[in-house]
Amino acid sequence: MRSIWIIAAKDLKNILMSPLFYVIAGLCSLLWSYSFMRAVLSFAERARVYMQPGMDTGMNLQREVFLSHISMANLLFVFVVPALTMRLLAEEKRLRTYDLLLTSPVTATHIAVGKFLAGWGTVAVLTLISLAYPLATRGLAEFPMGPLFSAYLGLLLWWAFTWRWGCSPRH
Amino acid sequence: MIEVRGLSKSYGDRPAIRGLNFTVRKGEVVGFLGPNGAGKSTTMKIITGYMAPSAGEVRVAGFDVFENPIEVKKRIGYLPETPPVYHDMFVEDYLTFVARLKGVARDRVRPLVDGALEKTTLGEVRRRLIGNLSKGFKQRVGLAQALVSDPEILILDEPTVGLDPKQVAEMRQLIRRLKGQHTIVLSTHILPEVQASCEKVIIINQGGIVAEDSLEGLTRRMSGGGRVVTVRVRRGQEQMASGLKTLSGVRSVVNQGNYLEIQTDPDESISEEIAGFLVGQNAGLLEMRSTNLDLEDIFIKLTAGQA
Repeated sequence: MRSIWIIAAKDLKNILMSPLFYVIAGLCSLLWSYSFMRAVLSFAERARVYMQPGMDTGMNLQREVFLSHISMANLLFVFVVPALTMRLLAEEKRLRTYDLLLTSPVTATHIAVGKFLAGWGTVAVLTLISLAYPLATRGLAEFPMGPLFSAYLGLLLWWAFTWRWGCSPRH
Repeated sequence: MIEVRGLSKSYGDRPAIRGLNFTVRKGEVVGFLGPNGAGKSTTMKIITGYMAPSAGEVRVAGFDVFENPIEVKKRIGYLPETPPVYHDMFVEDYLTFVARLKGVARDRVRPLVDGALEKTTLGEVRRRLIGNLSKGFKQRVGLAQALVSDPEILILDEPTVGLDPKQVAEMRQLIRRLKGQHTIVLSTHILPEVQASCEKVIIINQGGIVAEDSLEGLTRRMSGGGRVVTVRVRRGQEQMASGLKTLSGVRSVVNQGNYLEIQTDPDESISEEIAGFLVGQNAGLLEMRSTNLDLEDIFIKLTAGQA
């Protein structure tokens, strides 16, 4: 059990400290900043026009702003996550550090689960960055947090599945 | 400590090793010697549990490598041909990672990392990225990695390959210092390395063991208990060669062009007779050397025509 964490922590740390991660996270933030700002401004504009006192226009911040933001994060991850995690095993083989893992007192399962957790952790960090946008909106508007967090939980679980599938040697 | 029984491995239909049997006792320093492609690395990889053999068994400290790989791997420090280092990690962090991976208890990690850094004299580069180090330093980090869990057994696959002469000397010194603390198996195709560091030699060629003995035993056996005397004379090399053959105790005399190579019985007094004879004949004795067969001769003899 301990060796899973050791492998996962080492790999996660290496990814998070690599320049590639900073470039990718930076580009993601740039893209999200632009699109999220546009969405929020357009929502605010429409809200100002439609929302008269005593009227329910059926406008929903969650659906109209956050949903598209999360979909976009999801779409971005399709390209970004493989770029960050594809080296987890391939690099070990290229540098011959795989020899070290295979001659250490760990099982293949420990290695596979450790690598999986490292990849998932990377996704989680990117997800947290994208979560910062809706959270910042709390300063402008009141909205229930439940649906937002469950949507993000869904995103994380979806990527756990996708990434596990990506780890699989037989896909 | 290490018992190898009937070990065979084939890559496809190409056999790499065939039915190896040998034992390494606790505290021994064993040199695993053979030409390139003899099967040295394959044998070592099997002992470390890196890969499975096609047949046979390996027991390390009483544990079977395939039934109990975790117990075996805990006891082995392994330096493969290419040091398994992460280029984007700091030396110290890397060693800490390896120590923890090898299952070292949390409170022992720090002292063991410091110890390994000290033994391999890597203290000055502990805060540097491994990718920025020179080849010799990387090799030393590789060795530190093998040492860091303080394993009972060290398996070093060609530890001096690719190093410059000064680094080679340092590496040998280091291995000599480790003697007595660990059981060491060392593979190489460089003969002086074995002579410098090992007590026992296993010579392997084309996948089979051709000799297994202590260094002295091997020398004695190969020279048939005799000695070799080489002499250089100024005049009449041919006549001296035929004259020397008549001395009792001289087995054969070979004219090597620049010098005469004389095989004799082991008795040392024969050297005296040879010298007396040459001086008596006024041949102008320039040089005389008495040598035992060295490892290089043994190696060439054993692997002749095949290597």
